[in-house]
This record gives sequence, structure tokens and C-alpha cells, in this order.
Amino acid sequence: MGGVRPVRTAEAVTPSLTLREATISLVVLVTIYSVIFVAGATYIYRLLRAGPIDRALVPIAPGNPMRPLAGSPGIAAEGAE
Amino acid sequence: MTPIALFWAGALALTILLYVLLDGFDLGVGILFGITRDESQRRSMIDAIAPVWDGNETWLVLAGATLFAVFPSGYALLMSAFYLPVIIMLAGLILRGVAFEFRERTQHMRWLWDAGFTGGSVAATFMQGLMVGVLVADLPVRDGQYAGGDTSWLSPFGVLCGFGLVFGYTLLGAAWLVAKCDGPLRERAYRQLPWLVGSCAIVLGAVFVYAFASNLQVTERWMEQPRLFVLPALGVLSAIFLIRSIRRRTDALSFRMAALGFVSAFATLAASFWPYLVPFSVTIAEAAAPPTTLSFMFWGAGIIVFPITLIYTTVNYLMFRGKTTSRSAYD
Repeated sequence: MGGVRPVRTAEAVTPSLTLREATISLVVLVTIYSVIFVAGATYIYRLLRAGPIDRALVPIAPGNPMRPLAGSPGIAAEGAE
Repeated sequence: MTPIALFWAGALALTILLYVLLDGFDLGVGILFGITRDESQRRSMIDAIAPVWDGNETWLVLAGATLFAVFPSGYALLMSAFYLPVIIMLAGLILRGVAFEFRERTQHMRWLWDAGFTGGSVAATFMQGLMVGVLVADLPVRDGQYAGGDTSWLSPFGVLCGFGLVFGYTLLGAAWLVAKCDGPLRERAYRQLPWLVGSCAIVLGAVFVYAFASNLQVTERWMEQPRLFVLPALGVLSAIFLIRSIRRRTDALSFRMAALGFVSAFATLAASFWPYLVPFSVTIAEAAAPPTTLSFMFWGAGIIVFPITLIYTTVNYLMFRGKTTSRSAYD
């Protein structure tokens, strides 16, 4: 541990960081992730309410197999709305 | 400068160049998406970038990680100076990323994700251009530390460069659509391309005039070393071939020439800055981490992770080469 000494959090803070910057970044990130989480939770809730699908496997050809949600039935694609 | 520091400077430059070229075109497609009303064209645009867009953003992560690990003082300086632009850029990229997944799961709320896709693409692009402009022109630095305020980045030259990159990425995006799509979408992209080439030329002209008129430090080097003008000349050449390929409707060549234009712009910037990491205040050698860190990074990330990422990217693009099959073919 030769020349190494612990660095306190207060010493590591960006010297030029302002309260305004910290506030804006907090608000931006909280807003964006709130929108995304609400939308995602709503979607999962709808899938649960719709219940299991009769068919063993939904044909997924129209979806793009490279995408994470490709395996789940799309509400728009199913025309359920 | 030690050979390992030189290796890392080269790796960082290549990483940033690849990011600009690759995420550049898919951000450009995102911007074009916003001025497209037809749903089937919108889907084709998404399909044209779906297999590659998130891989493209890997290069941004790699650039950030390299800067953090290998050039820590440069990272500290730049992230402090560009705190808000980086946050806005990341917010844009987050919105864009989820829009790919969410827009097709809803009809009522599709407008929200479409707005996020376009708005996120524009915001991320604009902020990237702005940061490069501010970096070139007037980043206040004292003793290797950022010495400006939280809105110093909001300069007219930065805004000009922001608009420039929006046109630039849109140009790349239109050229990508020409290469990947057929039918009316391809035709539309061909009609957009000449306007985009013109807009880029106007902004680039304005940037050069501003740089020389305000006697930026960067212009001195160009006066001393006229040989460097071969780099922007390469860009002019690529623009000429791009216009020819638009006229002759040679799909593959258009994107290659648009990309070559970006390579020449990048090389021009690199030649202007060398050997500085943060222009005219912090050199690459000054910003480099201690030799033990550099060599630790070299044997792990440098000669294993970096080549694997390159190989994976190459394989991915080879696998999805050629035109995208339209989804309507399955319906």
C-alpha cells in the first residue's frame, strides 16, 4: 500500500459541480426512468391479465428475433387494442 | 510518449471514429424517422438498424471506459466540463433505446415512444456535435482542471457544430437507408441526400470561416503545415464521389463515400489536436495513467477485449450485409 492513501468522498467531488447541474441530472434521470418503468409495468400487467396463450408458440416471424421483447406477443401486433 | 500510451491513444481514436461512423448512421436514421409519416416506412427504417444499433453504442461505452481507465485526468476534465451535455446525450440514448422495444407494443401511446426515438436521436447527436465544437474553440481550463461554469458549453460555435453534426449524421443515415432498403424509402432517401450534402457543406464552410476569423489556436498549425490540407481535401473528394453516386444510384457507394467524408473530418480534427487530448491544455502524455495501469490495461482490455469487440462487430455486419427483407413479406 506504499504511497496509497484513502480518498474521502468530499475530496473526490468534481470541484466545478454546481447544485444546478446535480439537480438537473437527478430530475432528468428520475423522469425518464419513471416513464419507462410505468410503461413497462403496465405492459407486464396487461400480459398477466390477458393470461396464458393457448397456442404453444406464437409465430414470431413478424417480430425481429434480435430484440429482447421479440418473444412476447405484441399488443399492437395482436390487434388487442 | 511511451509506446503503450501511443497504443492507447490510437485505440481511443479508433474507438471514437467507429462510434461516430456506426452510431452516426443509426442516430441519423432516428432523425429521419421523425420526418417520416408512413408507418410501413417507419418500420422499415427500424428494421434497417435493429440488428446493429445497440452494438454500435458499445463503442461509446468503450470510449468512455478507455478514457476513464487510461486517461483519467482527461476524463475528469471533460466530464466536469460537459456534465449537462453528457447527461442530455445519455437521456436521449436511453429514450431511443427503449423506443425500439416499446413502440410496437402499443397503439395509444406509440406517439410517446416515436417522439422519444426522434427526440432522443436529435438530442444525442446535437450534444455530441456541440461538445466537439466547444472542445475545439473555447474550453476554459486552468492547471489541468475545468475552470468554467455549468453553462460555459452553451457557446454559439458549439451550437453551430451541434447543428452541423445533426446534418452530418442524417446524411449518414440517409446513405445507410439507400444501402439497406428498397422501393419508396430508398427513393426518398436519395431525394434527401443532395439537401443533406448541401447543408453539411454550408455548416462546414461556416465552421472554417469562424475558425479562421476568430483566429482560433487551431488555425496556426494549419498555416505552419500546409501538407495537412490533404485531409480536408480527401473530404471534398468523397463529397464529389458521393454526389456522383447519388446521381447514378449506386447504393453501396453512397454510404461508403459518406463514411469516408466522416473519416476525413475525424482525421482533420485529430491532426489539428495532436498531441493534445484536450486541445491546447492537456496532452495525451500528460493525461495518461501511470505506466503500471497502462500495461495492466494493455494485457487485458488492449489485446483481448478490444480485438474481440472488433471481430464481433465485423461478424455482425457481415451476417446482416445486403438489403433488409421487408416485414410485410411475412404478413
